[in-house]
Amino acid sequence: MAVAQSRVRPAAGRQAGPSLLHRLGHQPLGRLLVLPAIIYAVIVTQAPFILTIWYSLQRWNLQRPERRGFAGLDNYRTLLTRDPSFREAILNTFLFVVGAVLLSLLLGLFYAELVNRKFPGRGIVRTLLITPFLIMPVAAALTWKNMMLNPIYGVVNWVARTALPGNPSPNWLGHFPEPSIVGVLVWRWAPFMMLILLAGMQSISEEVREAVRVDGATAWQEFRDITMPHLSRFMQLGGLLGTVFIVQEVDPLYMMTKGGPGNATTTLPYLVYRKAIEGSNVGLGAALGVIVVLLSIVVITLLLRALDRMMRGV
Amino acid sequence: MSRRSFTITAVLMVLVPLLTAIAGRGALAQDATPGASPMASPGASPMASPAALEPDPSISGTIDVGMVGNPQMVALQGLLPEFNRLYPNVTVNMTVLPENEIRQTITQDITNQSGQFDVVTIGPFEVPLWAEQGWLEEVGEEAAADPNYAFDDIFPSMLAGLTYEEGVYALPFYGESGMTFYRKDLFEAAGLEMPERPTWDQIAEFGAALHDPDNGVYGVCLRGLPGWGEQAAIVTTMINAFGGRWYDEDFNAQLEDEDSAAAIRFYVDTLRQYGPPGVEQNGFTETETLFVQGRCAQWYDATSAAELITSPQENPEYADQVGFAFSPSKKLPTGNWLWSWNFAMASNSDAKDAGTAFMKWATSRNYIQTVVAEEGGWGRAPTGSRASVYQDPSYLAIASGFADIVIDSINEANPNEPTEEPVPYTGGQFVRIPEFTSLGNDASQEWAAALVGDQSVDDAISAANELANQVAIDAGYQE
Amino acid sequence: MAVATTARPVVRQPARFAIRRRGANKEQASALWTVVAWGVGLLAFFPVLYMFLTAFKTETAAVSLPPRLIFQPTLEQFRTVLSGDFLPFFRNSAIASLVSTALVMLLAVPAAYALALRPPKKWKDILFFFISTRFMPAAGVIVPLYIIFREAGLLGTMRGLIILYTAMNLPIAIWMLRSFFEEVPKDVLDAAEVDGANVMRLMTEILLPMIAPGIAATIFISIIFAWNEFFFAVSLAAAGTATVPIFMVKFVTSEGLFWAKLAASSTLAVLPIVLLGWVAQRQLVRGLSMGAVK
Repeated sequence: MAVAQSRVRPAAGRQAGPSLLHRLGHQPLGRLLVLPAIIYAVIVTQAPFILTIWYSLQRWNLQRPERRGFAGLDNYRTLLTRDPSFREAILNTFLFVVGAVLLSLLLGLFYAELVNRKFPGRGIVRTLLITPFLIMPVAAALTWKNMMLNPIYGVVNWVARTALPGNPSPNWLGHFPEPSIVGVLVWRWAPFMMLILLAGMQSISEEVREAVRVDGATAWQEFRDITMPHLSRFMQLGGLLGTVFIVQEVDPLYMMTKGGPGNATTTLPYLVYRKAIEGSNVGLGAALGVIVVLLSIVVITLLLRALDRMMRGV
Repeated sequence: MSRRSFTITAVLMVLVPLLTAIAGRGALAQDATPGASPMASPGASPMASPAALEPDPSISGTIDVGMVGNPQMVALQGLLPEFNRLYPNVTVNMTVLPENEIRQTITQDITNQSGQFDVVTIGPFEVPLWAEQGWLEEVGEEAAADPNYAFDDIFPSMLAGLTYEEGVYALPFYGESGMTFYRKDLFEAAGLEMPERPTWDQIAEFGAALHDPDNGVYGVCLRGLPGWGEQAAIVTTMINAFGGRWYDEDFNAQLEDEDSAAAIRFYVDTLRQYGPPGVEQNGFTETETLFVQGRCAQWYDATSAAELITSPQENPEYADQVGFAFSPSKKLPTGNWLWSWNFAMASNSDAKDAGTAFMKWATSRNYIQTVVAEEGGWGRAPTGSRASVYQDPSYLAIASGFADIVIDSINEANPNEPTEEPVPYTGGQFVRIPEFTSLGNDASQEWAAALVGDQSVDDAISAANELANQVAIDAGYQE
Repeated sequence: MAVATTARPVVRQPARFAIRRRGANKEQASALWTVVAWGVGLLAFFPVLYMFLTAFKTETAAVSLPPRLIFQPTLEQFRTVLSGDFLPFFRNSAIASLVSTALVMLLAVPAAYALALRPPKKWKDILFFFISTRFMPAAGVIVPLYIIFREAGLLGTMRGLIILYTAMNLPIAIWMLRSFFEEVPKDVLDAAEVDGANVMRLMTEILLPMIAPGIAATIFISIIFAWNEFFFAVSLAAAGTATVPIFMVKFVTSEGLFWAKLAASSTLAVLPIVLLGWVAQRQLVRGLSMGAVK
């Protein structure tokens, strides 16, 4: 991992940091510049969050204000002990996020490797690959549901019926809801990963590549020994941002499966939607939201710690 | 190709047709009838011009209206200038969204009393519940007192769903019950005959005979998309017809009861055997698309579909082949389906006179005549709420095939006593408790899981029954 | 693995800092590579292409089988879709995206500068705090937000939407910008220090031009997310200031046969961002490659 480490500039920067900081520390304004953003984020995001915590302790269905009242931990108890959809949603969230993040990373890596070489029309191919990320999620979901995956009129099934023996025409969203949704998520997020990884690949200096080529390394060896170690930091970044963003993806579920059949594609954020919006149950939705935040903090902290360890160069 | 030239080409490729489209807009604007309705058929005789109403400048104010984006409402949006001719001092701001989104927006607004909207479109599900909370303004009294409004012309069964303690809290814009559509050509070819009042067993028999998936024709099409207003609406009317019920009088869930379970089992089995693939993704809109594409031999759904699927433009290939029958029966002759989209006024509105004027204008007999005259046909005119429409020769000219069935279905439906055995709730294709939006969604998800074979029907039934009991306990209905 | 400990050449001229020396692998790929790359690209693009094509079909052609790639195009759908008002939606979206992005940059640039170059002791915690504000599912805070908005008179307003989108994009902007600032060679700062440049001058005259590609990338990402946002727009702003995603779903109606209209409205809705993305992709890659990871 010497390569990776040698490329980590902040480590070097921070070692040189104290003296530099000391010298620049005379400008008290510098450090304070983070304050406006913190104040803004605290006001806009924490005020509703505190209200959410308060609401989570209430029995409150918007449509039945006469029954509103303090409920203690009842909402949490309901979710944890009595609601089977909650357990399914936790499992689904985990599977969706891990599956979609890993596969988008892999596909993104593949995309990036493809367009990191020169070939005729490379710019166009890169453009084509980026496009799914630019498409409005709602539009993408409706296109996939109606025009691609519809079992009767969908293009995917028409191709399958026409090209494959036995005329298979699977009902994707009905019989394979989880893989279908993960597929659409990967289709949307692989370009994002590609952008990050491409950035990483292009920051590998040409001298390094030439050096190993002179040593007679094959393309695979070059990928394994140079590209991959160098990219690991970029992959971690993609994994982290991908996790934060993909967990919150509700539009495709709302537009394509409504979280079903059954609870098959209900993730925690979508369950919040089902309870709080469709069911007008503010208390239950709030409790669920608080649980999601707590879980996210735990998971992301673990991720960040792992990332930190790796960055220190294991 | 260099990157730059590619970019330019790409931009041009997209922009040129777009600009052409926008340019085409000017031409369209000169067309007197934007979105000219498919019903502008030669059959539509020129309407008698609307009774000349005098402008009333005495009413003034600004009203915010939240409307569901169904075609009838979109037409109404286009006729706002006519409203402003009559009420020059009233300003109307409209928010038009699809059903799910507008329902969410309106529910937030009304239940939080935030006063964004003065007038909203809601269904009979919400009206009595919200009236009970004091969120809606009584509007029946003033409407009934106005001789021009012809209050008595409105179907009494429609008003029944909009009433709370003798007060009428919304005015119906258009209404619907349930009925059966079928393809006459397919029935004829198979030597079958659809009775005017079929039973569910007959529907299944016909479905078996006509199901021909290899040629892309499916015996029975029904909504399967989970949701209290989609699949659950269909299943609930089937439960009613089969003699079942969601709850007994003490709010014990009755979905596992023999008749209810038979209805759900019948629904799942029939669709699994004779339904289209992916039926669990089909709501009203998707099913209608299947029907006009000639994919459905039979379809049980809202009466308001009749005008769509007999329109040669909406249904170019099979418009002449659509047959009509009553909603299927089992133990009860009807599932008691009754729905309307209504205008209601928030009780905290600060422009009540203007709001009332708008609601009365939109739901009046005059409005119907105006929209028909403006659009040259009945395509986007509101029907199913006023009896006079069904005596109008120009309507009967296009609706003769189904008008009688629609009017009888609406009159026969009794959503206030929807079931064979007594129930503690009202509502034909829903259970009128606030928690039903959530319960209907969750239960229909269970049935959707049975439709795709993720679980057995029996498991789905008992899971839904468990959900229904849970709701009754949590909501405090059940001891 | 002691392959490369090549020190990156120190860039002396700030203006030329932007990754000149790096660049794509210059090796010419084989013919097979070309074919595979094109195949994959077209495959990934196909759903979008099909959506674009469907927008030019009649409703009946849109659901006809086999699916047609070559057909008589019609502008009927665009006419229908545009017969309502499109421009107000477009204007609302443009204002919400651009203004919120401007605010994001206004807040994030100083914050990222401080976190990268003047790190407070707990800079990691601060960064984590910003990211953690993205953990709450939108539906979970919608009722509190609704009530706050109601009290503040922000329901259905552009201001409300801009405030939310700013908060929504702030974390990723700070995250990205911080890593760009960290890429700034320390000797540049040293030189500036010698000059006695104040923070403002240091920022505007030296730092910002150096990380310009990174700033551009951040701006693009922020605009993309704001333009495409659906849930807050529907829940809090639909009555009064509806944005493009709301325009789009309006064509999923109860009318039936809606695919072509939906495709046309989708095409209009995604077009601005897709064009922006296509034109700006070089900046995106370049910007992200500046640092992106620390």
